[in-house]
Amino acid sequence: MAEALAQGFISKQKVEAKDIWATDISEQRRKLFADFGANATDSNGEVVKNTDIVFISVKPQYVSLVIKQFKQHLKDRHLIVSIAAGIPLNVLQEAAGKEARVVRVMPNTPVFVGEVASAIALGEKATKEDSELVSALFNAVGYCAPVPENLINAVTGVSGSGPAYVFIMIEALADGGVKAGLPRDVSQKLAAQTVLGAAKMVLETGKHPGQLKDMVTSPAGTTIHAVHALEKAGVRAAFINAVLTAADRSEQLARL
Amino acid sequence: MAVNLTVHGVRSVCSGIAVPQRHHVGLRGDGPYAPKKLLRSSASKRCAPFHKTCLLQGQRRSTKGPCCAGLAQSIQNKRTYSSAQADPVSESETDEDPPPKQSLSLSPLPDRIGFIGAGQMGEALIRGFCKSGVSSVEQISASVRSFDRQRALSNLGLRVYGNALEGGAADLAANSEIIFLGVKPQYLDTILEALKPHILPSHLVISIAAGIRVASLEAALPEGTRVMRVMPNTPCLIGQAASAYVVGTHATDDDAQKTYALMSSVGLALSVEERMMDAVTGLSGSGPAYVFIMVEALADGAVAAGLPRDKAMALAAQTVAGAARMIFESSEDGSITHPAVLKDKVASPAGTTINGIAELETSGVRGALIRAVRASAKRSEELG
Repeated sequence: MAEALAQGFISKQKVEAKDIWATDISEQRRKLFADFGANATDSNGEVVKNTDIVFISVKPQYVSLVIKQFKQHLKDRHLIVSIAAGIPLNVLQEAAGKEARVVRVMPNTPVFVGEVASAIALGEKATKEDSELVSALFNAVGYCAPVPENLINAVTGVSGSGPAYVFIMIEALADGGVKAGLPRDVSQKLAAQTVLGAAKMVLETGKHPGQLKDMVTSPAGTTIHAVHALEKAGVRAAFINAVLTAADRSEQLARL
Repeated sequence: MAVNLTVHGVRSVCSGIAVPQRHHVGLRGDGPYAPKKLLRSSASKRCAPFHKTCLLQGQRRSTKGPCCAGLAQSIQNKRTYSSAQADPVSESETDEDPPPKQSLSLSPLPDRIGFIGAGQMGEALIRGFCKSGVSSVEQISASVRSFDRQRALSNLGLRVYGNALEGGAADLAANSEIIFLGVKPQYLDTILEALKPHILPSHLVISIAAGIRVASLEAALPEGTRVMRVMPNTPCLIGQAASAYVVGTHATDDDAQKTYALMSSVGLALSVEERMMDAVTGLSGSGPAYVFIMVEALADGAVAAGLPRDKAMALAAQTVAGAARMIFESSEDGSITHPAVLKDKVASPAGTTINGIAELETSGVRGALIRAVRASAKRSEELG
């Protein structure tokens, strides 16, 4: 994920490779970063000393440990950004110290293709500028919404887990196409592109999806027949339930 | 990873990026007509903000650059058959189109393209053709009925002919090699009648009229006319179409390749047999509506969980767009990745995602979507 973010930030010209420092326990990963022009080191301290914004992208169980390790190098200028799932701000704050500026970002899988849907929550000492800066970085590779920390579970339910619901939808649409006579490969591609195009229309026209749906359902036409089938099957409630259940589960896991 | 940061303004530079060909949706070799030679990645990666109209030139220039001056001049030089006067290009126009996320340039086709009827869909195609470089404003003309449309298209820099039924068809046919039929299906009969006497063996006729079969088109035109039928979908309006095309009886490989190149400039383009067109209608034709419903429902779920509406909607739409893009861009070799493989990757044991999935499966969402595609396809068959 760190690689995807770094590449994304560079390609959208938010930062240059030479201004990126990275460390990883694996030499292979360090080499990968060095290969695209970033500075690779095996010392967390080196990274912190040479930079202003520090992304923590280690596995959740190591976050606290890693922060405590480099804490001694933290200065006023530093901003810590954690992208570890399920690690709350108070854990970050406790590890980094009372005065440290920390934020947490919940990205989602499509960060790998430069289309992240993410949310950011601020620690007590983080400033408005910190929020704007980090949001701008993530907005360059998709979308980022500032939220209070208690809504991160809701974000998990919709954008964290959401891609899976979309994969199911695409597979089912492709199945429908195959049932109606299309070859599998054609059906799959048309299905995926239809979903991509329609989602982009919501994002780029700024119109309500209900409005957009109205615009494409002509009287007694093919589309309204299909819409009827979806409504009869209660598809809307199914999606609402999915988001809520995932959000609930996220909350349960956070309490463990 | 950590960064030293100087934040650049988001809009002040293009997002042109070094994207290998495999990231370009719709440009993979597909079917027998995928042109290997027509594609090359754009080499220009840094560009100044560009004037909206310059997009149509397939060029990127700074706002005060020579392109705009040249365009204003060429508009004044152009003859138009309508009484509308082309407005000189306004350099104070500030609503720039966002730079395209996937920058690509195609080898330009030598053919002149004429649009009979150019409403929203037709205009989206024209913009897409110019933006991608497969054609340019100088190569495109249109014959439309309404005065407002004539003026609007003229402002884009196209040559505009008057009403097709009052001589416009004849003029357009005399000045085009490829003729796009962009009128609504109910007007097609009369248009074809007006066009028929002016069709030559050298013409290629491409219809985007929904539900009108190749056989009907061929029957209404001179014997042996080369015809293609294309079914784009609504996201064509933002260059993200999922289009299918059918090769007519007399159309050649070259015709099919050109159609593929043109439609690829506005999204994905695949060739199909005519008997599959009802299925295409059910899937990509009607499909956007199913997605609008899904996005709204996801947003409702997020609102139910506590998010404010505007953020819920944006996260929902972006999640759907991002997930769909993963199908096309997750593999090293540019092949598409099966959605089930991606789903398995993101559903960790006893995690949040598999819980959400369980809800969807329990509610029979998959069945509902299959039924939706079938219902629309069946209705398409009834209407045909």
